[in-house]
Amino acid sequence: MKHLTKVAATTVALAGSLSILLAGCGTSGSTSSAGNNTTSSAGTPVNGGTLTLAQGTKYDDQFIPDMDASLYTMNITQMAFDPLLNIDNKMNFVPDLVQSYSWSNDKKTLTMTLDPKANWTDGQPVTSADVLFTMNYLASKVYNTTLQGQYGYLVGPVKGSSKIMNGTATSFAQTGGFTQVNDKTFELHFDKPDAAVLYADIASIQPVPSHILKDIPIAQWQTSSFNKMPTVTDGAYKFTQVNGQDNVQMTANANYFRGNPHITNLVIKTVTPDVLPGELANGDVQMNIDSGAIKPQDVSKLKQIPGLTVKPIVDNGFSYLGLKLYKPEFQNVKVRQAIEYALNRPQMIQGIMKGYATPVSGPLPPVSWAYATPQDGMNLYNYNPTQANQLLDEAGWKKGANGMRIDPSTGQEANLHLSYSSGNPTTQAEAVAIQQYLQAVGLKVTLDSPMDFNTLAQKVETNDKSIQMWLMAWSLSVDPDPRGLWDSTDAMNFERWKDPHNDQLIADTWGAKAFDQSYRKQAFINWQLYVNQQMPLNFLWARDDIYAYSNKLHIPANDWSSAGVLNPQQWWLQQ
Amino acid sequence: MGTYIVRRLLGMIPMLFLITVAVFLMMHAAPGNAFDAILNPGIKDMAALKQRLIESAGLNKPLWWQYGHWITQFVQGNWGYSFTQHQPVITLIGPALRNTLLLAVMAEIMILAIGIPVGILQARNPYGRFDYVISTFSFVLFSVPYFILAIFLIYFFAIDLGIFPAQGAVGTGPGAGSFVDHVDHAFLPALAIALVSTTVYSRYTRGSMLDVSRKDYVRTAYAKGLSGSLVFRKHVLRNAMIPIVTQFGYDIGGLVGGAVILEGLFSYQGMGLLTINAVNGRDYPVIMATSLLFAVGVLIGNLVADILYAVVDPRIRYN
Repeated sequence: MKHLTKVAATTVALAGSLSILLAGCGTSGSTSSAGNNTTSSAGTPVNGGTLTLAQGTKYDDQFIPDMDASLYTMNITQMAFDPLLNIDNKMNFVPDLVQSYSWSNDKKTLTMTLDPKANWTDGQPVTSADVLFTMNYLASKVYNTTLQGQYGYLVGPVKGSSKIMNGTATSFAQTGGFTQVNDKTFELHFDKPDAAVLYADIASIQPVPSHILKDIPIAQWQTSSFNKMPTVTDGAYKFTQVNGQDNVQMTANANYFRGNPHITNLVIKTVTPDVLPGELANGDVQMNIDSGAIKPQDVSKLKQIPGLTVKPIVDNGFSYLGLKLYKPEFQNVKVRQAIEYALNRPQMIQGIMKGYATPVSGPLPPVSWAYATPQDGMNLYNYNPTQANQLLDEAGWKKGANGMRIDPSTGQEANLHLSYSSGNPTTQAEAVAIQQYLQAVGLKVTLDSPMDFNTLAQKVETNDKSIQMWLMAWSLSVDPDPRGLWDSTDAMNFERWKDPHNDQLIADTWGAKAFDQSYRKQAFINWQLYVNQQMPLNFLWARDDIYAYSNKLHIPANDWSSAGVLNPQQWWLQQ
Repeated sequence: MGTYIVRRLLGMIPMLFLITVAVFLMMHAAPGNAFDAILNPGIKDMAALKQRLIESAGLNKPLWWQYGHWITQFVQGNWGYSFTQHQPVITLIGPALRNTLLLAVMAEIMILAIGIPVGILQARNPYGRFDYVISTFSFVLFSVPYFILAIFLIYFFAIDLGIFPAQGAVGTGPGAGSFVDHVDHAFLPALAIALVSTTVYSRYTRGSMLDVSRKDYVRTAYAKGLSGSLVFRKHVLRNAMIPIVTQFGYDIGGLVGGAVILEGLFSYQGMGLLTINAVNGRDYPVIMATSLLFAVGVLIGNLVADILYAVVDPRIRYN
């Protein structure tokens, strides 16, 4: 449901060895392949029951929001803590704790009003003071050093955040970043207008109860009992039992301001992907809530289990073949385009992903509201080896006597090295397929020995000499803000694509004019068209996240997105 | 014996010191660090964040400083904070060690309770039908990797029959976390380990007993006119147990290590999973602590094996 920015983003963080390169699966028409799912949202909701949810990877047992960066921990905390804004299944932001908001004329002040009915489970109202308290925690020096500060960015653009981070101030109220208007209304102040800041950052803040935590120094939050099991929350469910890193039990928050949840009890437990199909089949688990838990090769088996619905949803992210653009061999745009044409991506998706992915050829996947279509001018780079050969010829990569191409920058036969991470058969298969397709247009590719993800990440990030091409994937935030990945100076612009025109196009997507949504969308389209033409990396596909759930579980048709659960209070279980 | 044990315990200190140095150096020789896997596109200034985290963790300091800092803190009881889970290392190791020890003790009980009696029965009537059946069965079991066995056990006992839980170390509901609940959850993984190791113990026992029963003193006992069962009990069995008991001592050393693959299959949060996740995540403080515990376990296990050796074999004296 909530916290999409983070959920999506952390998948990448965890990608470590798991989800990211894990290549999901699912046909592009995702929901159409859902099978017997037509009854899922029909009928009159009934109250009661216990819903057991499974995750393929263990969570870390600390539940103060943002204390832990694990996606699997957040899947749990989001049941108990609401964010300022939620999203709908089209990834539009909708009210949650914040009922309404408005921008000042200079777009530097954001006024937000909290829902008057929003209360903590102990009856205290959720107030402006709670929001301020939470923002101060996210900006604090302790959070941003020893607690790793992975979500410090949520308040980074607010005026004075750096002062709090370096310890010269302790509150946004002192730095001019926050003004309390009344108990339920507050203003946030920014140094400069930024059309992305609300959606990319502020919306995901999950307030914590200041009246409970204010007496505990942040440095001791890690070891506090509240962190191990929060006693006061504001979300649809509240904690009843935390059994270490094995399972969490929750019960409905009867006073939840967005409606009393239908399902009385939740159990969230860790089930290894090897055993998950069995547990789904015998009813021990009713649903998986992390996309990495179901392997593509298990889908056909799962579909045969009676009473189970399998639903693939296109992920908000993309897999790619990275190119170090400072290497002379990749400086000619025609070479990069040729590689994109040379890869038969639909075939790779069929073979490697069992059909559960959608080809992409630009930086935003089809699930994004800002996605540019062929009608907007996007080139889909459909598989075309003739075109690939022609482009390589034009780029001066002549074929030698043995049919393999000569790299004009060295005068030698080209030999491109591809690096990838170990431990995942899908990635290995991707690498082999790429090698074969490029071989077919005369480009020799050598697969370097796979390395563990941390090693690969470190080498790619530090521009290690051995890295020429590599395989990775990004999971994106709900808001399509390109900064972080695509600006010339971004640390995660691994290609080291330095292009002032691109930077300008990116600036257009968040500048003052972009507060107008249609302007912003056009700016995104312009940017995508440029990236699509420049091919700074070779886009492969957006994988599908695969969920399986019991037909007894009724999920409203509009309550689903690539970010998973949106409004758990509306779900119900047939008795 | 007392001075021997004290001498051995003191001898462990330099050994442990060298082990920590070796682990520390190997750990830092692996490329990457815990923060390289933080790849969150939402973070606009990733470079600054990483710099801050590296400085806060002291990873920018010289290696000798980092080691010195770690060991001085460690001996004072401060085992540091996990880089990937941001919790005190001790709070992570506590439940993991408890789970692993329970699993290991249960497995060991099953191994001894099944393996030794089966071996004895085989030796009582070697090359009989029972011996052949068990031997065949043992070789088959011994050849199957235990994670394959584990999958079968999960399928039959958990998914199909629903007798034992398939996953986790703790269940749900009011009884969750009780001793019985823990034992219930540890049963299947313990059985998976035990089934394989049982065959080892039964083979050892059988072989050792046959070996002893050909000894001169056994023939002498028979010649004295002692009954067959008395000879078997007092002369053969006790002497045949010497290698078994020492093997048991060495097993103790492996107890704290956990079983990585098995723990993964059962989502059993033990030392094996904790360690492998720490290694993959370059979580140095956790790696150091678990390695040290493993080292202590092995050294203590060896000591126990040597002591047991002296206890069961009167010919061996250390003083």
